[in-house]
Amino acid sequence: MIKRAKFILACFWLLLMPACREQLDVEKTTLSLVYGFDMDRDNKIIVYQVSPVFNKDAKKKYEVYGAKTDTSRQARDVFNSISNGEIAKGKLQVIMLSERLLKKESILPYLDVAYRDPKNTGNMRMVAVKGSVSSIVNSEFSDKPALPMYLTNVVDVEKESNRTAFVTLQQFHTLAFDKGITPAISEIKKGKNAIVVTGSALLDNRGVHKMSLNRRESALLLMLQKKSRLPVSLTIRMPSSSLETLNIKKNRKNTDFVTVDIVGLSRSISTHYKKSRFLFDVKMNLEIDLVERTLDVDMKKKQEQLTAIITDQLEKELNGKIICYRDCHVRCS
Amino acid sequence: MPILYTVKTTVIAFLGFEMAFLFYPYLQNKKAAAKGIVIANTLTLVVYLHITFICFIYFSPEEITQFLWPTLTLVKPIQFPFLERMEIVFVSFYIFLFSTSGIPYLFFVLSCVIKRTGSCRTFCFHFLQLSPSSSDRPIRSLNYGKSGGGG
Repeated sequence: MIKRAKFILACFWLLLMPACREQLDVEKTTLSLVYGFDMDRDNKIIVYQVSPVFNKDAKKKYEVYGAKTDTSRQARDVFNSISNGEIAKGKLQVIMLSERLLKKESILPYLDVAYRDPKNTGNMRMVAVKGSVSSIVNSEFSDKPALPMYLTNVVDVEKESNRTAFVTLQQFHTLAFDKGITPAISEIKKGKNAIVVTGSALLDNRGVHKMSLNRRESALLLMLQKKSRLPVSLTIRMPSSSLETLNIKKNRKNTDFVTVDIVGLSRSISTHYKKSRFLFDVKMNLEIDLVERTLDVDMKKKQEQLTAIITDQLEKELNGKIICYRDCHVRCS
Repeated sequence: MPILYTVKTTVIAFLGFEMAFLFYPYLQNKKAAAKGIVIANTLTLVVYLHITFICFIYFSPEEITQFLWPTLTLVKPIQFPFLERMEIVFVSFYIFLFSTSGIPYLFFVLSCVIKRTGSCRTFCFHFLQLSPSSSDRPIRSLNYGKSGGGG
């Protein structure tokens, strides 16, 4: 009985033996963590790869390389030719797409290999870059961590605070093939000393850039889609003559603001069909906490009035944005 | 009818009930064999239908035709803080599941061989020569993971 158990254990150990040959030293691999796609004038794409360097002797902590090719898999050949170690597959965390590429061409053909390769994860963040990818990838930030990590963290932080539409590769596939939803991906640009998340980029079903939203509009979009992580923080401007208040800031008009934290969100959509067009009636019930106010108002007495004003302002803002999207033939779920 | 086109691929999953003929001498309650076959096929049906429904619910109709392996694509985004790709664990356990389809056939081949020759040693020796792990170049076959993965 014990002999049999030992035999079975020996068999399990034998099963693990072939894996010993597959041991990968981190120093001997090129972990491509970030891929960037850009397009140049001859309509060829430039693929950038950013990978960290683990050697103590190297001065820079990460290496960047660009390859001018027709497809992204061809670019891997070029990266193999300069890489210090074997390129480890399936470790990509961020895919950057330049504005130029998005405006000119649809990106789905270039991403096809990412969907087809079973070794890729599905959780790569899709990020659009305002400007060229080389501006971000070739920039040196002396007071920030290594670029691949910094990029990932920047996008993640904005995802937590609801200021950008966070989309992974798998979700992008779902959005691109769904006829009723417009894909939206995060958008970044190079600021003076840092990478700035500017909001979201809206693409059409083929992946061509339609319009960009800033951070506040992205927050409203996420609220409408019910994809926001509560609480959502919004600063709302109060019209100056609405409440009878003692305006403490005497020198400026129209400077009453209120910041609310949206703690609860429920949404109901009713659809109608008129004149061969769909009409959606979106009702949202928000539970909000007042976080900051710059106007002096007696909260106990004027609470309902304040609520009504905030509701009014939010409604106006949302309606205005929706009309703007309709004009650009953009649809959000 | 379009649904009849897929009968060719799915009927293979429901075969194997002929094992009841070979299991017959080992059975104690012989009359319950028919009930066993029906229950086994119903279980197979339920599992496959379950997976198909989940795929249809999750993916939109235009999207599902784009995937080679919808089930694996369902599991792909699952990520834990300690485990980056759960699909690998999923596939490893899946192998156990679908290897059960070949094991009854192997069992009966061996039992017949033992009945005829008393021991299966020579048969096993020659049979294992055919398996991929005993090929002339063993290292090549074990390295399939490195060079594969789309070219």
